[in-house]
Amino acid sequence: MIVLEVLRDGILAASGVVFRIAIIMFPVMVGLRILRDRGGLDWLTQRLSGVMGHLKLPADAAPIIAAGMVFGIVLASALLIKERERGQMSKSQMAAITVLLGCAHAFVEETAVFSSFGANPLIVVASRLTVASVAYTLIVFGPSILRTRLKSESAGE
Amino acid sequence: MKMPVARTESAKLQLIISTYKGILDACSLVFTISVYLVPSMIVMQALTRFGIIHHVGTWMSPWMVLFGLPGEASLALLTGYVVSPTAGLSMALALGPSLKQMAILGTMLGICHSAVLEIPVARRAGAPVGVFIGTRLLGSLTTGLVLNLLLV
Repeated sequence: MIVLEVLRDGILAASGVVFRIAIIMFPVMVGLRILRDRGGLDWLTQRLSGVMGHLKLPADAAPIIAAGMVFGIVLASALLIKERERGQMSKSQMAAITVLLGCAHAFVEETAVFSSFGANPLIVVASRLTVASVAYTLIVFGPSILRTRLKSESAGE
Repeated sequence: MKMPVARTESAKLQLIISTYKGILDACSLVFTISVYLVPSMIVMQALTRFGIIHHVGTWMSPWMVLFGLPGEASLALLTGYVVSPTAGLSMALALGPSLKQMAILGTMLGICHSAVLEIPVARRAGAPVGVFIGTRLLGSLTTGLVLNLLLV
């Protein structure tokens, strides 16, 4: 009897949550698909291309980052594998991109899922972006900053 | 004069196709979420009924209090880190968390989740696995600590 009660309570609780999630996910996924089919990704890629230089990345990294941030790490990884085969990007650049996308990916879909469970979307997005930026900065700029500081300290002595 | 009409018709058709594809995407996502949600809810109900969740909660609460979460949420956090954030959040939902707790848990799982799926994918893309896991885990735990101090 207890087993049946547990099953019934679990299924009832889950079906209520699934319904709540469906109400949020349907408009989000339709909007995301329309954006994708209307060239939204190309638009974002163009915007990101200008920023790549500041991130010490080639312009080829823009579509990977755009795809990862909007659609998820699986699509971005597929593009990264293609890029690796082309051999245009260094190993450290690819590592930096995976760390950046590891913390900040699939913003639209995952944020919608988290907010349908009751998490504040603004806090989720802002925190993920902050952690991704800090991790990226430490990995890409950290070693050169450390080297410069060590050089200036040894010159001072 | 026929060209703009044809173009409008084609745009309308494209919109209908995109909407249809979007609905299919949403159905697929809701189904995937249900696959995680239903077993998670049943497991949580069973763990609660048999008092296991109470023991885990008591054992983990000194650590989880740092993130402003109840000890029982440790199971949800671990499930989210390893399996999927949806499974983790479903487990947490069964505990009846506050909005602050859900924001903290959602953000922590947003930064680090689905190790089983994402680590092999990232490894294939050439990511250094140690750095990939380390930055995400450290970022997640630090964000949990900070959010617990900042959020009211």
